[in-house]
Amino acid sequence: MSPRVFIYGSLFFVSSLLLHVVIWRVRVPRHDALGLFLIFSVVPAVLLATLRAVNLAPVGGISVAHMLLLHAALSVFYISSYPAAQAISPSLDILLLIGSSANLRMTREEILANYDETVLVKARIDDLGRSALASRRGDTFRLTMAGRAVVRFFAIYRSMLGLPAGQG
Amino acid sequence: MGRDIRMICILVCSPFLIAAVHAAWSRIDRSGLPQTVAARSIILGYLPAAIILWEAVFASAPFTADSALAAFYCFVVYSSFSYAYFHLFNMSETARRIRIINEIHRAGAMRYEQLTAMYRSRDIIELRLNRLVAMKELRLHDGCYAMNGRLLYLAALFISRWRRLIGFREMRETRTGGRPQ
Repeated sequence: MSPRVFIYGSLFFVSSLLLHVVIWRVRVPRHDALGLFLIFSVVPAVLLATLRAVNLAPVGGISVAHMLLLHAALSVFYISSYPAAQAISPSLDILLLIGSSANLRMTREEILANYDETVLVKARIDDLGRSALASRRGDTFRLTMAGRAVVRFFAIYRSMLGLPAGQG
Repeated sequence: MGRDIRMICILVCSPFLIAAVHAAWSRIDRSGLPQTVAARSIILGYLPAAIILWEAVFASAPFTADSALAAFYCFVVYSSFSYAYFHLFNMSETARRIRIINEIHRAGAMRYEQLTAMYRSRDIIELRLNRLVAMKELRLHDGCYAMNGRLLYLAALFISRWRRLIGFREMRETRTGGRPQ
């Protein structure tokens, strides 16, 4: 395997990541998951076409497949971590709270005092209203076909693992 | 089929291998927290993946610098997919959004107030405190929670900085919904 696989694969990933950071700093897209998917899919295609136009494209279909697979693997690595940054993971946030407290220790009530009673769920409900998983008419939420497909997917997945539905 | 194509096929299918190992291991190891079981399954999954890759790709050729690079490539791709698989599992276990859509699915339709009444910040935080203690990231002593591990805390610091870099609001503002603390 040629070291070029690593160079080009990393180049595709880093370019996609940079474009994502620039776009997000200007304005976070309304459908951010779709935006991420598009960026990480389109950038390598555009880069490959550009490199081909200037005769710098990697040679050989297999090498290109290796590069794209490396890019895909690094992309799913990043995209799977993105929700923790986008939505604030309460678990990580608790660790940050305790880590920044005066004695590096807090009681349950001190931790709870930092959270509005509904903020953690409201943020997710608002996200849901913007996503393709649910439709909101007035004050009422219903699942879309995509939402029902996600519910079914996770139900099958959890039963395959022999586990009940997660607690959230 | 050439070695390279076999390697690509095995790596592309590797998330299914991880899921299969996880499905088997979660029926054997019922003692731990679901996330711990998932993490153990992922670590165990390296063994069958390595055996399959060795038999299908590496065993038939002499070991050279190229093979070493290819082995490193397989490690990076497989590890990235494993990490993403862990997040997929974690999403099924802990994601608020997944729980909310499950509840809407069960009810058919739900009003905003019903959703916020069903799932309060207190419940979310208490569930996570118990999980963090079970994962040994926190320890509970004399009614106080203190840091026990560093790994998740360092991840939290990194994600918090990354969040600011990509232009999201400070965590503190989001915790209180903008209300000053």
